[in-house]
Amino acid sequence: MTKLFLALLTLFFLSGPAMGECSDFGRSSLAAKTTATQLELDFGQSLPWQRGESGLVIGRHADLSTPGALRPGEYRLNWFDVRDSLGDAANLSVNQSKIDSVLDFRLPVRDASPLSDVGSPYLNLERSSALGRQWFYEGGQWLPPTP
Amino acid sequence: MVASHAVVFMWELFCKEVERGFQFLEAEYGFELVSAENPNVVYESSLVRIFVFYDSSRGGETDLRIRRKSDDPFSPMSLGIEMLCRMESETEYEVGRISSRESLQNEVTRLANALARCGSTLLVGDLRVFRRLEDQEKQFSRKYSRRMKENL
Repeated sequence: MTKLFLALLTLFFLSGPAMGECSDFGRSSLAAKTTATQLELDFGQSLPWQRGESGLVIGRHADLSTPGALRPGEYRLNWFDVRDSLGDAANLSVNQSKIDSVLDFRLPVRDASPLSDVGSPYLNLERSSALGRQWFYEGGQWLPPTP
Repeated sequence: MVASHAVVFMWELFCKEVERGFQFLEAEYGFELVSAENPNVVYESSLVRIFVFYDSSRGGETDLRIRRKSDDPFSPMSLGIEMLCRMESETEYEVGRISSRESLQNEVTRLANALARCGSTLLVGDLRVFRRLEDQEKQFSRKYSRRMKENL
């Protein structure tokens, strides 16, 4: 009787989950593994450089600041604002050099504001820089010309 | 990054002023104030979201943007107060900057008055102005498209 009990106990432990596996009885360990794999793949495919994009998003300051305006991996131009100390022209010059350094990479740049919104000198400058380099606008993005 | 005391103070003042100045959205149009997280105070109806914007850390910029709730959050279909005034009442509005406590009060009042004056149709749920915005966007998009530029 004792031997039978010990044999059953051994069988129970051998058939149970190994260390690190899902030990939640009643839930399929296969389902848990599938979920983890999907999350990993979704994250990998959503990054801009994996889609061949620069990740830069231009637009009105307020549009870029709305919650959830930027996708994972996307960014906006940022610099120390010198309007109060050096004036608007100096601040625009900083903006110009920032946008030029990104456009030099010739990778798509997303635009988060309507094209008909022309009220910001900063956004106008960024769009003019793209147009000056013969870039095109398609599907919400500025794209470099094909060589 | 830790915001300075002045930035936090101005933001809190801005929230109070917005709550006072934009009370008509809740009282007259059934909007709800849903969040007030720097740099946006957000009002919402069943159809649109209104973002009252103030960046106290970068030039004291103010703005007001309206988005349809049904739009993709990444679509560029955001209607600014300048465009709304131009499209709905053919008046010019220039967004201002806040540099002091007094100018904060003035700017918020100016924004609220502009929205009340130019947005009355939109605020009651008539979103035709967004259709017009879409038409404008199609025209601009064509102008800057690859095919159009290659034909020039």
